[in-house]
Amino acid sequence: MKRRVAITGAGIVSPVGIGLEAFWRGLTAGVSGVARISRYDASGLPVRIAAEVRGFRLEDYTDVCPAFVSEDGVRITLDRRTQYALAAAEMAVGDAQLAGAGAWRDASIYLGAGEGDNDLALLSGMMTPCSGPNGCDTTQLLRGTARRFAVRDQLMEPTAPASLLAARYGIRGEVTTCLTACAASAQAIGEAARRIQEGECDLALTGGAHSMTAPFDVLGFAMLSALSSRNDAPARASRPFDRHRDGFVLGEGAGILVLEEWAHARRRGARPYAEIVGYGSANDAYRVTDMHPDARGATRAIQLAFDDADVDPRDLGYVNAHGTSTVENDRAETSALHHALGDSARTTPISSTKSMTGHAVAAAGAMELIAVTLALRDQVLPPTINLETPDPDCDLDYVPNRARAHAFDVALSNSFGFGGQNVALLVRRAQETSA
Amino acid sequence: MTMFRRRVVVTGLGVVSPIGNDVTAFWSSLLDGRSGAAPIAAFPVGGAAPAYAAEVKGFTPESAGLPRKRLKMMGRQAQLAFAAASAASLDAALPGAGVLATRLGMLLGVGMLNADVDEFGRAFHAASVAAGADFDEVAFGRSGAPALFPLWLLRHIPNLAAAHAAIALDAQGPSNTIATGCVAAANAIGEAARIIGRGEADVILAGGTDARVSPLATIRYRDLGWLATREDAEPATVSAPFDEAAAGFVNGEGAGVVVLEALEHARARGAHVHAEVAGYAAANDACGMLTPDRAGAALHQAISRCLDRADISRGAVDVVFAPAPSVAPFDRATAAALASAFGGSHAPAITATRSLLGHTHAASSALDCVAAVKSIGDSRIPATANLRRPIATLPFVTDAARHAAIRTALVGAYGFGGHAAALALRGYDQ
Repeated sequence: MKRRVAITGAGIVSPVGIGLEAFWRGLTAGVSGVARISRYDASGLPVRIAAEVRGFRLEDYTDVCPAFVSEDGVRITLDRRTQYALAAAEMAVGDAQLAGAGAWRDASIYLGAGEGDNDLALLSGMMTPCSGPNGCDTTQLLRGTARRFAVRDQLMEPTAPASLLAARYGIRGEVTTCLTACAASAQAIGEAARRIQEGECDLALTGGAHSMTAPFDVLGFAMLSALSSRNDAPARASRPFDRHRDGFVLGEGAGILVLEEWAHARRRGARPYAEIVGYGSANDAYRVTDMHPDARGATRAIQLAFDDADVDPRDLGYVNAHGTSTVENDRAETSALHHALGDSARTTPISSTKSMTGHAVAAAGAMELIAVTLALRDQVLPPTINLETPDPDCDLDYVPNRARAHAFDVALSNSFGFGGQNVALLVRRAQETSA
Repeated sequence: MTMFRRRVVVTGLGVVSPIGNDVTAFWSSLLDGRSGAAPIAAFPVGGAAPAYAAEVKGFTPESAGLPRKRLKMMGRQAQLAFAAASAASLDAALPGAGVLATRLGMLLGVGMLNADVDEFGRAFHAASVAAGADFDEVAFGRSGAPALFPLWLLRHIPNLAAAHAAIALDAQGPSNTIATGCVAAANAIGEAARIIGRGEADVILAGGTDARVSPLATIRYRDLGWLATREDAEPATVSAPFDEAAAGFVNGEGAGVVVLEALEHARARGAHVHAEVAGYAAANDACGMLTPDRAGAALHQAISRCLDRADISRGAVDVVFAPAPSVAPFDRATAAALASAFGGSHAPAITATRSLLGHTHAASSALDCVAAVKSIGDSRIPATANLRRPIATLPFVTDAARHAAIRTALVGAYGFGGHAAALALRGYDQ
């Protein structure tokens, strides 16, 4: 008999709100978190909009110092991704009422996280004097010392948020970071659930953190033609499943969940939000940037999640779509839902909260699973905003523009990524009787 | 005994390393004590230190079967991984073996990717011509961007190393990319064994890849104080794990991939079994990003849990491939962990391949796994080079490779971020 996995805490830093209730108010009100980029002058970039977290100060959420100070006095402000993770984790641990308890020693951490954002001014300061039209004179570059760069580069490692969370909560169990692009945090949650099922731990901190709104990232994705260029109408730029969608909008944030073995949670009187019942992961093995035309990996990930949960698609009540707002994803995802769910695809409401949050890349899956958790709690579905003109290739019920009251027990959360990574998670409303 | 519900065996090996670009060359270099350290070829260093690194030599992507069209989209770490995965797949005789694509997985540990300094140097230069010396993001966007290869971002997306290899081998099963620094490959191999053990895949290519012999990574490690910079010695003598004179690691690069397979699947297709994966565990020091716990707590815990789960007694371990990188605090923590995990009387032979390979970061524990599997099959343990004055009284293998019957080999992994892991490999017996 499998050990069961409860979600007993969550915390979030997102472009539509910081903290569970602000986030949920934003999503159910259909508020867009997308705006003109405010942190720097983006007027030189082809894309000038993003979903930025606003009004965030680490000290409002935790007493962890927002700067790292090395033994020799080098002071580095932690990158945004790490700060978001620290804040979201503090909220999640508090929400689960596990703060300060000695409960965390043998816990696991599994995060999906990207690299920290580059400090372009620092990098440019080092490299510009050594560079010319033919490249960089490495002899000159290597000549100086760059202790600040060295420490900051080390703190940009993908694993920095997880390692700093381990230090914060004294976690000495398995601490892992995966980096499977847009599927990373969903994959991390699935893998963390496996650890609880298999008895590796009773408690896990999981989810993801990422910030890809810096010039480097916006430029890189814009050059791949992946982003919406609706610079003049930011709030309307992310429009999954709409006929006039033209790409995704980069976002940022962190979503952290406390997963707990069901009996462990019940023993201490915790009230689970929901139960993670299924996880599926499959690869397209097709192209690095394009989804398989028949969405074979996505279809199989969904099927595997249902098999894992031993749940019938007819019992599904809601799908939180990957729904990036690219022409290709939304069509392929629709096709995957048809393949995997059969007739239930037409009767199950589906929404993309990326229409409001933008695409937080490695953090997206965790932010979306938190949306699913709150939808199950309140029996309300967040909408897909900006869905104005139906696309004949996207022929399902996408909960357009307005939140919807809906009685349901089982939800699916999809996360698909560059490189053909596909992850599906199935979650069930907490049932008191089934302890 | 094994900790996995289904027995998991190793049926293929592939490497690209500073001491050989195939398993045969790699293994004979380890046995003969040939170092991979040499003057840096990838970029001019002028008079700066260090002038040496452990680079992969003579690697031609074309000979690894890399599609020319795709090369421009692949960073070096993806290219090395592609070559190691292809070699492992051939060694396991996977092509044409009828493995179900949906039951074939790919899990890699990868390193962080720094910017290509020539490409970004051109962009920063163009921006500075337009707007002056101080960084200006508007000028960077307007004038710098045209200096970049349009698909540059694809070379910087870490999971594309596994993606390119998965496409070539049609691996549609479970896939993951793990980025836990120097422990990443051990995590990838351990997690792959679990996935096969629980029945979610039949065959997984697992390992690690890293290509950090770059100007920016060199600066990073040098100015963190971890990189060896001494110029008074031959490059081959600089990496000295567990030695009093350890003065930093030699920066290395490479990729190692093992084919893991459910035993029943390997038997059914008549595959040659190199060894069995008997156990795995991971742990963390909980002490931040820069320094390990002095007592090596996480490595001790990973080793103990790994052996306990596999029901292997301390005395039954014949050799440990130890993760000492030639950086004093990490060497000492590793030695402390080995001493406490095994106790004096049970300590197995210990060797550190980083003395020859340099530190290949996210690839390091995959290369150690390949070496461990070879040591089991070949009954020989490579020596730790440059170990003259050990920092601890432990049974280090020094001077020359040693003949020994090896039934159980342990691979230890340890690095920054508090990460540690251990993998137990065992000679296959029916």
